[in-house]
Amino acid sequence: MEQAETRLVKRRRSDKRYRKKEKQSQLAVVSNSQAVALITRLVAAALLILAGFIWILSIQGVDPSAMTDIGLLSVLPPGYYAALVVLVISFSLVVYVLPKATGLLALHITELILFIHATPTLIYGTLRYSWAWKHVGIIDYIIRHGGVDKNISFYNAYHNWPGFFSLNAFMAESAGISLPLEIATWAPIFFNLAFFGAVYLLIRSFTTNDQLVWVAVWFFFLSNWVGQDYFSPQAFAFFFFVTAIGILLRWFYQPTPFPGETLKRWIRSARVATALEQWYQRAAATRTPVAASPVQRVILMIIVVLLMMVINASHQLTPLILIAVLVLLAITRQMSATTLPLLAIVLTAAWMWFVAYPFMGSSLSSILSSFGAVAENVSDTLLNLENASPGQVFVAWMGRALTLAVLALGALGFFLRVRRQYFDLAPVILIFSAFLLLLGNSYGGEIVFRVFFFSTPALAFFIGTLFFRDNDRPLLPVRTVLMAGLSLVLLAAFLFPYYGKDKQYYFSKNEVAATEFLFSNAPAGSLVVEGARNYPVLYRNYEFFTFVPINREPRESRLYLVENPVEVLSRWMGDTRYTAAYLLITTSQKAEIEMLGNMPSGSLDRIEEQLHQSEEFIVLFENEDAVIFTLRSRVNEDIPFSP
Amino acid sequence: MKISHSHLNALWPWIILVWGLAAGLIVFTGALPSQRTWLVFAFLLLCPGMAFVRLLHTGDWIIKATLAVALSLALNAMVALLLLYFRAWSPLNGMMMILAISFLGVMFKTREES
Repeated sequence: MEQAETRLVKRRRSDKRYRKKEKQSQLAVVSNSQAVALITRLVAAALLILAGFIWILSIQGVDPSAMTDIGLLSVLPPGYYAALVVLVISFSLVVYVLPKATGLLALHITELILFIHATPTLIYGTLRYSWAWKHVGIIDYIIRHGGVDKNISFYNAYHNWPGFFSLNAFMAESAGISLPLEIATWAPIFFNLAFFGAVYLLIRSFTTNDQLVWVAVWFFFLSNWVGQDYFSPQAFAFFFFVTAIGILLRWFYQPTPFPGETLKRWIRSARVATALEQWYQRAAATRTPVAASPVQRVILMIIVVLLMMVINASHQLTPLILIAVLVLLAITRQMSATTLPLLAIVLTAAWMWFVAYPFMGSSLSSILSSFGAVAENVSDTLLNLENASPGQVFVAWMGRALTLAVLALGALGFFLRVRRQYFDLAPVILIFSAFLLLLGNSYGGEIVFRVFFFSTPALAFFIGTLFFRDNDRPLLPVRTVLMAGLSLVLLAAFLFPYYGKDKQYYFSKNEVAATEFLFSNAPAGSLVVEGARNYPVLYRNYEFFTFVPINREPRESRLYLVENPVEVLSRWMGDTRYTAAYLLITTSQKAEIEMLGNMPSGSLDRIEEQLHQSEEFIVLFENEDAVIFTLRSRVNEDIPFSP
Repeated sequence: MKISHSHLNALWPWIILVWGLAAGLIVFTGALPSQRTWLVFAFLLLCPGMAFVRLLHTGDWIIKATLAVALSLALNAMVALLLLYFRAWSPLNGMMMILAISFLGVMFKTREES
C-alpha cells in the first residue's frame, strides 16, 4: 500500500514536472514566436520606411517633358523600381509571418498605391488625362448654373447621369473650392484607397483565410492596369458596386437546402439535376456565412439600396452589370436578399425612362443596333497599331499580354480550386457578369477595358488561390517566394500599359496657362479649333464654345487641311455664326498625333509654322507648349483680348 | 494605453458632433477660409456615414472605414441630387441636410445606449 502511494506521489511529481516542462516549452515557443513577430515587425517597418525614402528621392527632379513614346517609364530612375522591389519583399515577408497584422499589411497596400498612383501626380503637378479635365468642366457647369441641361448638345450623357458630378459640385462648394482641379488631381489615389477597402470587403466574403485575402488584394493592384481610377463616374460607381456586392455576399448569405423539387419541374434530366445539386453543395461548403443581427441587416440593406440609387444616377454601364450580378447571385442562392434584383431593375429602368429619357431617346437605336455584335464591340476597343509609333505598339502589346496573363492565371486558379473540391460560385458570377457586357455595345471603344475592370477583383482572388493548397493551410515558404516572383513579373508588365501613354496624358503648366487664358477670356459663342482633343480640355465655361478637333475630321478633309492650313482655317474661323474663333495647338495634342498616327507626322508643327508666316493670322497667346491663333480680320473691340 | 474598438466606437458620436458643429460654423459664417477645404471636405467624406456605420459594431477597421466613406458619399450624392432636381442648389442647404442626417445617426446611438 505504502509502495503504491509512493509510486502515485512519484507519478504525480513526474506529471507535475512534465506539465511544468511542457508549459516551459510552450512559453518558449510563444516567446520565440513573439520574438519572430517582433523582429518581423521591425524589419518590415524598416523596409517600408526605406522603400518610401527611396521612392520620394527617386521621383525628385524627374522631367516629364523628356518622356519618349513609352511614357513615364522612359524618365523614371532605377531608384523607383528599387523601391517597388523592396516593397514586394517586405509584403511577402509580412504576409508569410504575420497574416493577422492588419495595420502593417494595410500600410504595404497603401504604399503600393502611393508608389504607382501618386507618382504621376507628384511629378506632373497638374491633372493627368484629358477626360478628367472634361469631368471638371461638368462640375464647373453645375456650380455656375445650379443644375444640369439634359438636352444640351455636347456631352449630354453627363447631364443625364449627374450623380458623380453633382456630388463633387456640392462637396467642392461646401469646402469653398470654385473649381475642383486639386481634388481631381488626387482622385486616383483616393479611388485606389477606396478600391482597397471595397475589394478587401469583397474578398473577405470569399474566404476566411487572412493570408489569401491579403495576397488577393495585393494582386488586384498589380493586375488592374486599365486606368479606370481617374476622376470619373466609372471609378466612383465601381467603388459603390464592389462595396454593395461585398456587403451582400458577406452579411446576406444563409445556406439554404438545394431546391431540388423546384428544379426537377424545370429540368427533365435527372443527371443534370444531380450534377447541379453536387455543384450547389460544393459551392455551399466553400463559403462561410457571417452572422448579422436584424438591426445590422437593416442598416446594411439601407446602405446597399442607397449605393444602388447613386450608381443609377451616376453611370450608364454599372447598373447593368449590377443587375446581372444580383440576378445570378439570387438564382444561385449566393445571397438571401432575393427581391433585391427586382428593385435594381426597377431603379435602373425608372432612371433611364423618367430622368435620362433625353439621352436614351436619341441613343436607343444605336445601342440596340450594336447589341449582340460581340466581335465588333471587342475590335472597337483595340488600338489600331498600323500607324502607331514603335513605343506605342510595344505598350499596346504589353497591355494585351498582361490582360491575357491575368485571365489565364485566374482561370488556372479556378480550375485548381475545383480540383481541390472547392467551387467559388460568387467570384465566378462576378467574372461571368462582366463578360456579359460584351453583348451590349462597344461603349465608345472601351468595353473590353470595362469588362476587365469589373472582373479584376474576382480574377485577383483566383490568382491568390494559386499559392494556397487549402483554405485552412497557411502559405508555405516556397510558395511565398513564388508569390513574390509573380508580383515582380506582373508589376513589370503593369507599368508599361499604365504609364505607357503618359506622353499624351501629361499636361505642362504652360498648356494649362494657355487653356485657362482661352476659356476665361473667349466670349460665349466662340469656335475653338483644336489640333486634337487631348489637352486640358473643356474644364471651364464649356457650354459657351463649339469645339472642332482637326484630327477627328474625315481623312480627306484633314489631309487637305494639313496641305492648305491657311486657306481652310481662315474659311472655318471666318464663319460669322461664331462670335469669335480660335485655333489652339499644344504639345500634348502633337504627342497624341505622333503616337497614334492618325495624322501625318509633324502635321500640327506644319500648321503652326504656316499660320505664323501668314498675314491673315495673329498669335493671341504663346508659350513653350501652346499657341493660340485668331484671324487678324476678327480682332476688334468685341474680342476682350488681343496681342 | 491601447485604445480598443469599443472605446473608439464610444468616441465617434462626440467626434461627429464637434466636427459637424465646426464644419457647419465654417460653412455658414465663412470663417477659417484657409482651413475650410480640408475640415469640411474630410467631414463630408467620413462623418455622415460613420454616424450609422458604427452601429454595425464591426471589428474590422478597414471594413468599417470603407462602409463609412461609401455611405457618406452616397448620402452627399443623394442630397446633391435632391438639390439639383428640386432646383434648390445651395451648399448651405445641402450642408444643413447633411448635418441633420449625421446628428440623427448620433442620436440613434444615444437612444440605443440609454
